[in-house]
This record gives sequence, C-alpha cells and structure tokens, in this order.
Amino acid sequence: MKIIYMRIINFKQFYKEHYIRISDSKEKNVTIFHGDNGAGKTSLFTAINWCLYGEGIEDSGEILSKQYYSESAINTEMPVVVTVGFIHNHVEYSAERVWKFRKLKDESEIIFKEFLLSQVSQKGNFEDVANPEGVMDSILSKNVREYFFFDGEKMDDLMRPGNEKITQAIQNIMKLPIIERTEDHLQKVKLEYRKTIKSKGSVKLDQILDKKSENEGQIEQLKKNIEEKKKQNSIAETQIAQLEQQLENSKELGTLQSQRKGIERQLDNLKNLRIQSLSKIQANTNKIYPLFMVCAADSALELINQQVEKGRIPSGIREQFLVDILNKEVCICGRDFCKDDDVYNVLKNILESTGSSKLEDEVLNLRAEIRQVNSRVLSNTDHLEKELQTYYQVLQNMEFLDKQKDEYDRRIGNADEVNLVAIDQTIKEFKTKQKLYDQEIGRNQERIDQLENQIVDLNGQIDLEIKKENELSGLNKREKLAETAEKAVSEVKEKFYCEVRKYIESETKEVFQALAWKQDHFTDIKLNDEFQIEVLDKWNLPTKSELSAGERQILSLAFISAMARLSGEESPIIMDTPFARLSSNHLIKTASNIPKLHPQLILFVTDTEWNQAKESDLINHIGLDYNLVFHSDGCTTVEEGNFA
Amino acid sequence: MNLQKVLSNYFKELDPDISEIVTDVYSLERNYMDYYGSNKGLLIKIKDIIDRVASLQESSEQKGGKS
Repeated sequence: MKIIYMRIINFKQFYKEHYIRISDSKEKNVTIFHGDNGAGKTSLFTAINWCLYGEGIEDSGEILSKQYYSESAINTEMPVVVTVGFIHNHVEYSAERVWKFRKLKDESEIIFKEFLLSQVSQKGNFEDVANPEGVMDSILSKNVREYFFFDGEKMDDLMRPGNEKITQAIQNIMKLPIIERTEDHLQKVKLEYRKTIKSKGSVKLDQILDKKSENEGQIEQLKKNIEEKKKQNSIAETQIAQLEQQLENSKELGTLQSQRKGIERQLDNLKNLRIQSLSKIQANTNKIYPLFMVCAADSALELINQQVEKGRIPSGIREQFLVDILNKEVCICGRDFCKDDDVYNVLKNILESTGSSKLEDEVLNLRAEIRQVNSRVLSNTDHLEKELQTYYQVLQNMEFLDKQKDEYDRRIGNADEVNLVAIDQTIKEFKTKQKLYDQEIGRNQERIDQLENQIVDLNGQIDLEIKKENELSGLNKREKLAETAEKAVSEVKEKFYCEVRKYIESETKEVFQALAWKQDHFTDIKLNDEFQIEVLDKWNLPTKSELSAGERQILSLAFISAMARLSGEESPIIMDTPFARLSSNHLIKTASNIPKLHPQLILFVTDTEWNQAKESDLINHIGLDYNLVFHSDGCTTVEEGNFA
Repeated sequence: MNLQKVLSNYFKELDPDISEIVTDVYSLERNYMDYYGSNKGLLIKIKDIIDRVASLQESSEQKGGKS
C-alpha cells in the first residue's frame, strides 16, 4: 500500500476542501508536513486514521470545521469528508469517509455516516467495493495499523517497563492471535469430536449380537422341536390312519366275533338251562317211582274196597257210631240207657268185639295214600313231561346255536380277537396326542414369530450400532486429525516464535544500533519468552530501565521498524512528531536512516524537528513537503514547500 | 523476512494431510479475524476441513483395501 493523495473537507481546522498529494516515489519516498504546535499536524494524522479505519477521533474533539459550522445556517447539512487515495497490489483505491451533520440552534447532530472504498477498474472508472471495511482491513489490518501510523510523542511509552503493548504488537504482527485461535479452535473441535464419540459410543453392539445369537439359538431349538412334533404328529397320523383302516377292516370280523360271542352267551345260558332242566327231570323222576306201584296199589285198593263192601273191614264210621252212642247213652231208637244197662254192655261188647280197627284204618289210610300217590304221580308225570319238553327244547336250541356258532367259527376262522373299542380308544389317544403336538407346534411357532420379530428389531439395532460404530470410527479418525493438527500447530507455533523472536531481536538491534549513538554501550537486544524486549549493555546486563526517553524512543522506532518489516505488509509509515524527544545526535541519525527502512514515509514534524532534520540525509529523500499554516480565523491551510 | 512465508514453510513441513488441515484452518481463522470478527460458524467450517481430509483418507483406504 502506498498513499498517493489525501482530500480533506471541513475536517477540524481544515476548512473547505484541501487536496494533498503524497509522494510515492521509490527514491524520494518521504512526504513531510511541518508546522508550529497546533498547526494541524495531528489533525492530518488523525484524518488518515479516521478515513481508513474510523478511529482516532475519540480524544480529538469535534471533527466538523468550526468555521464551516459557524457559517452554516440552522438545519443546514454539513458534510465532513476525508478521502485517501492509495495504490495496493497495482490497483488504485479511493477510501472515503463521510459524516454529515445538521446544524441545530447551539449544536449539531450527526445525520449520516458512510465509508466507501472504490477501486479503479480496467476501464478507468471508480467502482465501489463490497464490504469496504473488510477489504480495507485485508489491505492493512487494523491490528497492525498502529505500528505504521503512530504518534511519536507517545512512542517511548512503548518501551517503558511493564508495557504490554510490545507483546501485543509482536503477537499482532506475527499473526499470533490467528495461530493461537487456530490451535484453540482445533482443540475445541477435537473436544467436540471427543464429546460426540463419548455420547455415541457404547458396548451395546456386543450385547445386541449376543441377544441375537441367543434368539437364533432358541429359534433353532424351537424349529427342531416343531420338526420333532411334526414327525410325531405324522407318525400319529399314520397310526391313526392304520388304526382307522384296521377299524374299518375289522368291523365285519368284529361284528361276527361279537355276534359269535352273543351266540356263545346264549349257549352258555342254554347250558345252564339244560343243567337246571336235568336237575328238575331228575327230581321229577325221583318223584314218580310210585308210578311203578300204582297197579299194585290199585289192586290193593280194589281188594280193600271189596272187603269193605263185604263189611269185613269196619268202617271207622260204625266204630265211631258205637262210640258216640255209648258216650251219649241214647239208642238209635231213642231209648235211653245207662252204663248199667244191658244195652250198654251189649253195645260195649259189640264195640269191643269188633276188635281193633287199626288194620282197617291202615288199609283205609293206605288206600287213601295210594290214591294220593297216584294223584301225585300223575301230577309229577305232567311236570316231568313238561320238563322233558323244556329240556328237549333247550337241546334243540343249543343244537341250533351250535350250528350257528359253527357257521361263525367257519367265517371267522383263525382270526385274532378283534377289540374295536380298544382300537377306537387308541385312535382317540393318538388324536389327543396330535392335538397336543399341534398345540405345542403352535406355541413354538408363536414363540419363533416373537423371536424373529425380536431379531428384526435387533437387526435394526445392529444396523444402527454398526452405523454408529462406523460413524464412531469416522469420528475417531477426525478427532485424531484434529488432535494431530492441534499438536502440529502448537509445535509450529513454538518454532515460529523462536525464529521470529530471533528475527525481531536481530532487526531491532540492527536498527537500534544504527540510530543510537552509544553503539558500543548497547550490545544486544533480547526478547524473552513473553516477548518482553530487553537491551543488554556491554556487560551483558539488562539496561532497559536505565534508557533515557530519547533512547526509549529510538528503541521504539527500531522495534516498530522491525515489526513493520516483519509484518510483510508494504505500507507507509506515518509518524506524528517522530523526533520530538530526540537529541540532535539521535535526530540526525534517525532522520538519516529512517527513509531507508520503509518504502514510504509520511512525517508530521514540528518546525524545530524539521529544522534539525533538514541537516540530515532525510532531505535527500523528500518527495513532497508541506507547510501547515494556522490562520487567525482558526483554519489551517496546506502550503507546498520547496524542498522536494 | 516474510512471516507468512515462514509460517507457510513450517506448515508445508508437516504430514500432507495435517498440513492441509492446518493451512486451511489458519487461512480460515485469518479470514474470520480480518472480515467477520466473530467465531460464528467457524467450528463447523473447521470440521468441514477435517471432514474433507478424513473423507479423502477413507476413500484412499477403501481403494487400497479393494485393490
């Protein structure tokens, strides 16, 4: 960056418009503004800072020209404009900052603020640049601005012990904040990766895979079980079919066997009946033996009857008749008698002469008995006959049934006994088993379905976990990259610090020794780890605290020059009262050497400084010089000098 | 001495992948600092850089694995 002109309108004491060219010559690279104290050097210095960065006006009072303000009517718009034209990387730019004020009764208010950065196009037109602040910052960073645009009166403060600005300056020039931010942000990214890894990492996959294997094992077992049950079911099915076939086949045989059994039962009954009948026949037969005596009894009865008819056998009636008469003592003729009567005796003798009636009674009883026997025999004979009929009937039935049984035997042959009920029962048992198998198969299938559903779910989880693991693997790789990059930045930073420290030491020492008059006394300049600068004397002892204000200014200047060169930015050095504290020795040396250190130098010097500087080699590098003339109306004019 | 060049040379001495990350992140940080002055979205962009390098590594590993 090289400034080529400035345009100022109503900025502080610069009333109306001032156009100031700045020397961009390589040889005559110095533009010098000189004037009395208060002539406007610092205002011009401030104008450049304000234009390019919007800074530097905080402690400098109103920026609007008082003359312009006083001349303006109330409500008039009063613009303050500073334009800085410069060339950067062979492109011409125009930076312009405009504030507009409105005049009120006793004061003014800001009504408009604008910063424009335009560049000259290839066609020669000015074209506005987007993001003007950002582009300006990229041309000459705000962070390093103060090492290019600095106030000489405050310069020696830089080297006062305890001033942190050195460290900041070095850090800014070295872009250290960027390196540290790089390191810091890589660390943050690393930690974020680590946090994500921690949140996503798990031991779940193993557990899920175990669970899946367990489920698969269970399914395998259940399937085997189902197969086993199906086999058993099939066997049962076959057996049922066989049994049903057997049942079907055995039905006729079974019926025959069943019917034969019925016949056998009937035969058994008939056998019992026959035995009973035989017993009855036997009993009846035993009762009819008197039958063989019937003829003899009949003959005896006939004989008895004949004897009775002949009266040879008294009848019991007669005996009873006699007994009755004797007992009544009345004759059949009606005449009474007594025991003493003859009649009585006669009758008694008759009765006694009849003898015993026992035989007669026996015969008569015998006859009665014979008659009864005959009667009973006849009755028993009937029974016997009937029983015999029954017996023969039984025998006939048995014969019939035997024939039937023989027929069944023939039809059944040698076939085993068929137990249809048992077969039916077995079929039922098999069917029950089948039902149980089916139920078990159903339960197992249901369990398999559950387990398979679980496996589907587990597969989903596994996919998720694998995805997570892949993601984790990727995250891990990224975390390692971030970590390695962070460490690399840290190492590079250390090396870079070391190299830059040496460079600053060397550069500052070179410039300091060139500018300071006690070259033999100040032998070395060192920067410690905290980038605190120290000057060592010939006894190698730190001597910074013993430096005079002028020496501190020289050291600052040397340091700033080193920093400006170190920054790599090609930018003008703009110094306000750079030699204010310098003794003539230092001033001459500094003024002579400083144009050689920078590509462009813009100096704001007091007349005193200027008069001394004119004695130095500086005079040979002046491209343009301006005299700032402060007028009694409070305005400054910029008048071109004649040293260029 | 050109600081950027010095730094750049140090970065170049690193392992190529790390060098790429560090160079790009540094450049990103510089742009953020110069233009935005805020870290908004920065970490995501750094992750994008790391992700790009990691993806290339993974792709290269896969190719190596296939061959």
